[in-house]
Amino acid sequence: MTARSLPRLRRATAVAALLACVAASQALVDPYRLVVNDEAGVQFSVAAVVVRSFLGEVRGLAADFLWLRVDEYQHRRRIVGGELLQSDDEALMPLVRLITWLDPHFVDAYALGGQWLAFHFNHPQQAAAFYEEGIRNNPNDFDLHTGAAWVDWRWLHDYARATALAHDAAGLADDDLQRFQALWLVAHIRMTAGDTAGAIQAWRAVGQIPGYDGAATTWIARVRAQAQGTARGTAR
Amino acid sequence: MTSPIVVIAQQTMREASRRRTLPALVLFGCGIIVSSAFLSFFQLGVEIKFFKDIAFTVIFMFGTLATLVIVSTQLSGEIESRTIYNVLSKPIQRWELVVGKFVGTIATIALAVAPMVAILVFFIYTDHGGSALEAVKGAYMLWLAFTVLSAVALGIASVATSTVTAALTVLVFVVSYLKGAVTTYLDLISAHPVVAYFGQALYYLLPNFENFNTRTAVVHDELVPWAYLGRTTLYAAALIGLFLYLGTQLFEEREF
Repeated sequence: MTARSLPRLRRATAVAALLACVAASQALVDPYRLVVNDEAGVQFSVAAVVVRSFLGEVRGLAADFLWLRVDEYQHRRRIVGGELLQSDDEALMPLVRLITWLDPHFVDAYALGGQWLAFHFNHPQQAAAFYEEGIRNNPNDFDLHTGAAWVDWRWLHDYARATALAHDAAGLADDDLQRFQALWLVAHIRMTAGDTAGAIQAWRAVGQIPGYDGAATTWIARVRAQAQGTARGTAR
Repeated sequence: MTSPIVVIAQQTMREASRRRTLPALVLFGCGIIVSSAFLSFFQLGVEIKFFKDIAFTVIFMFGTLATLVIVSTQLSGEIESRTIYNVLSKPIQRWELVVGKFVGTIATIALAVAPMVAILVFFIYTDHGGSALEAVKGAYMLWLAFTVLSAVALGIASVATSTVTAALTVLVFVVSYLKGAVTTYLDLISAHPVVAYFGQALYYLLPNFENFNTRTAVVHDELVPWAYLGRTTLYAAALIGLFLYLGTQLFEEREF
């Protein structure tokens, strides 16, 4: 070994050691990445990964600007020649999809997309899948749980799933009004499913909420009357 | 007696504040953040998210720009204007010069982004828009990203001109963000172990600026764990150590 090659070897060793430190500290950071970044529980498609990578640090802001456009389509629907502009409706869903790629915690985008897919575009299966993705990325969101429950109740007639979602929503409610809305949903879904006892139980839970006891009593009477009417009809 | 590193760091800060670019960037950044606080075309809830997103993006962009301006005009600028001869004729080591420039740069960046962070925290506090502490954590992570960027730029500046330094630093920065797309693409096109190892090497050895991006958590009022801050600080220290070592070694070898 020459005198010239010795410092080079020392430098190469130092660089290798520093690279090892970089790799080791990246390995230390990795377990927490899922917690702090918007990757928690999110399975991105390749296209989504590419879009997210290209936008890097500005993807949150990009999602906000796209939401501005969605907001305009939703609230200020343009009229041309006396007719609502159909292209606005068609442009909405790709924008919503892109927003959820860029910011999977953008709950409003999931809520709006799910609602439009089911009630406007008549694609309840896709709406349920979209809500499911939203709930996976935002497990503690009230609106997504109630939205998904509505789709399962009114469109897919999966009453067991709808009840479970509405029940979860009641547990996630921020205030009494939201708790009432969720339990209202539970009661109505159970009534549709023919579960009168379950519906009455849900209304009793409504009665526990301060200020809602009157509404609960009225509804329990109505449910009982409706059940008796149904029983009489069946007997005849 | 003051250490040469401290003297050079102070000189770097003085030099940066003397240029008009930095105060102009800070003023412009603060102006955008303040004005965005009064935009109200979103419904409640989304509005504060929009404000936080704008504020963090402005801090990120102006901080990055300030880092590039300061670093590329420091070492390479002094070599190009030949003022480096005066500096090197003094009793200081070359590595002290590089490290001093680095310390001065990151201190200047901290001072430059501080008013923008203060405005962000003020509006979060007054609008009840979530935790101000989490916002400070997010800003600290951005500052860590700037320190790593400064080290990368100084490493390049020790052998390149100011224009090349700025261009290559931006390239490293962009490649760091595209790394996710590249590794996903590699996974997609081939299941060969060599390709997988290459993807892993790319992931672990190249700087990963995504590590410093905690904005989504902060914007959505989620907690950034202290352990994450500690580990990311270690990661930044490892990268800074690597690039400053490369920079000082290359600068030592350079002939003037």
